[in-house]
Amino acid sequence: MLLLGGACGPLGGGEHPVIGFAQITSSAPLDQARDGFFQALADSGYVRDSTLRVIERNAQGDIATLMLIMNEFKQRGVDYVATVSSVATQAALRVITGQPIVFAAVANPYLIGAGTSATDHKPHVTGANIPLPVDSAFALAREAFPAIETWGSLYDPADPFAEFYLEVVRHMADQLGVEFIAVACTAPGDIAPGIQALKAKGVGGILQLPSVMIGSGFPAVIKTARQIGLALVSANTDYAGVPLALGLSFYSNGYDAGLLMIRVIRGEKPADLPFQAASKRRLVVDLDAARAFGLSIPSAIILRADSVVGAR
Amino acid sequence: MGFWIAALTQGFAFVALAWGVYLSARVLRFADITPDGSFTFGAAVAAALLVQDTHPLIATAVAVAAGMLAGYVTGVLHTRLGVSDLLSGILVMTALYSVNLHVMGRSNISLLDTKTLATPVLTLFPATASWPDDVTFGAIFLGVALLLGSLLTWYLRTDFGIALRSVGDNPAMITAQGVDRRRMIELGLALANGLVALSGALIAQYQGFADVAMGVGTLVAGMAAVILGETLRARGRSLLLTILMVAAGALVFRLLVALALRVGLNPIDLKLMTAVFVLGALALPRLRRRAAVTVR
Repeated sequence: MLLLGGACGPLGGGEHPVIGFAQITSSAPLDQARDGFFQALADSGYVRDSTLRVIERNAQGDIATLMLIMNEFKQRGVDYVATVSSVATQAALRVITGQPIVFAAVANPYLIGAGTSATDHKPHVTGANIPLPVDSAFALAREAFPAIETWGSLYDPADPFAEFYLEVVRHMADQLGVEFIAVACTAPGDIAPGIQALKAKGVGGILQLPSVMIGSGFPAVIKTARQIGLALVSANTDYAGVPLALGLSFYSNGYDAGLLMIRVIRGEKPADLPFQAASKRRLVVDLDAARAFGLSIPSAIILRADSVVGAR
Repeated sequence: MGFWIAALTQGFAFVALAWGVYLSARVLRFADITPDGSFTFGAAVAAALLVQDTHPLIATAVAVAAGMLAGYVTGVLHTRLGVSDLLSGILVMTALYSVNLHVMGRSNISLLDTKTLATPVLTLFPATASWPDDVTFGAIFLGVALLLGSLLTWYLRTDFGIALRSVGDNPAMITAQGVDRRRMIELGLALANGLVALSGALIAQYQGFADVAMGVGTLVAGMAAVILGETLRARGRSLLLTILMVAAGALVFRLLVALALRVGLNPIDLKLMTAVFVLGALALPRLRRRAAVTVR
């Protein structure tokens, strides 16, 4: 009983703020967002287990458990709720009504009912969304590898924003005058065969659409594309071993959410804090990876890169 | 307290799932994997209809019918085309993944601002407006479970129900009695997956969204509930007791998941803790009996 009623009793309202932190599963992008979130807090003096109490929960892929997690936060009276991923945010929106919610790693918060615009949103909710710039990454891919007329990507139909990104990329393909082919991939084990299937369909380069599941298996994307001689461009700059990436970092997105959380802790109301769409794009060129892929990156792109990895 | 009420509410919604899995796994003795798809199918159909402003009762009823159709197809694959039971379920479950995406039009539908089964209850009983959401949904799910449990117990005691139970217990006998065994399997699976889909529809309305990935692990949760229920039943053999105990198994399973959460160890240990608690619940009665024998 001590365990259930005492040690796990109400926590909030004390000297140090208490954050209930939830994510749906462990995957590279989500973990990076989590690390960025806590780093932002630590950089402002909110150190876990010292000046900040964190109840961290991971539903390990079970959506029903997310609901229990949110109810636990509610019952234990945490001061603030932080969520990473769209599904975790949806569960928080459903259960948490009293405490402020700050989200990260959500591509489009409007699709999940968090609000209708960056400033017109549920009054107890704010957060940092991460609309990965797949259109700009596609334009860069075309500039870097003009000989490639057919581009492709694995496509995770279960990802909440797969359709959203696919539509953007198809529209961009029309503008760029190239073909774009998407192959469905529903499990990490489908990644390598999926890349092979893209090659068989005549794809010359991969512009990988964002997906939590495929993000977890991104090393398989890199390895297979490299083995079979496909170019690879990403709109997420957190992956090592990608020759060319133009986009956003989930770590930075989590960091931005952490900064919002600090403002809420210091007394600002979530209603007054607009959703912050990550916009600090970075162009990363990995010359060592490009060599491993047998690719040559144009010097004009290298010159304007924010970060160049490897020897020239 | 609210946390445990939420866990119980979820448990009440999962009772239909547990009965569905009990019907296929224990009554029909059919290794049916369809629930991993039909659970989401129920949620998807209900959500797609609810966002079109369909009455929640109708949306839920159509979801049950959709689940029944899925179960029926699994049955037909097995009985008419000779596909093994396991593979029939795998095929339908796999196909349902695409079907669910078609039904929803995307992978996730938010039901935050749509009417759910709680809406007509609030209209009929305005006093419930002051209740927490979990209590309202809990009361609805408990009502649904009581109604379903009564219907299921009655149905399995009718001549038709007895024939259905005999499909698993003694297939040779019912064939000799002139009962069409294949038809009984098809109908039994339809009924089982209708119950599973109902559970999915209820959960989607409770959690405020349907997601194409929400069915992952459904069968495992359902089987855990059935086995826990059988352990709780101990030596009792009556049909009513079995049905009650399977429902109790669903509740106990969700409470054990909740307990694993509340223990609050490293977040990555959640499933390990759940497994340990379920194992404990299964092993304790046996260990206690063994200890009693040793003392004597």
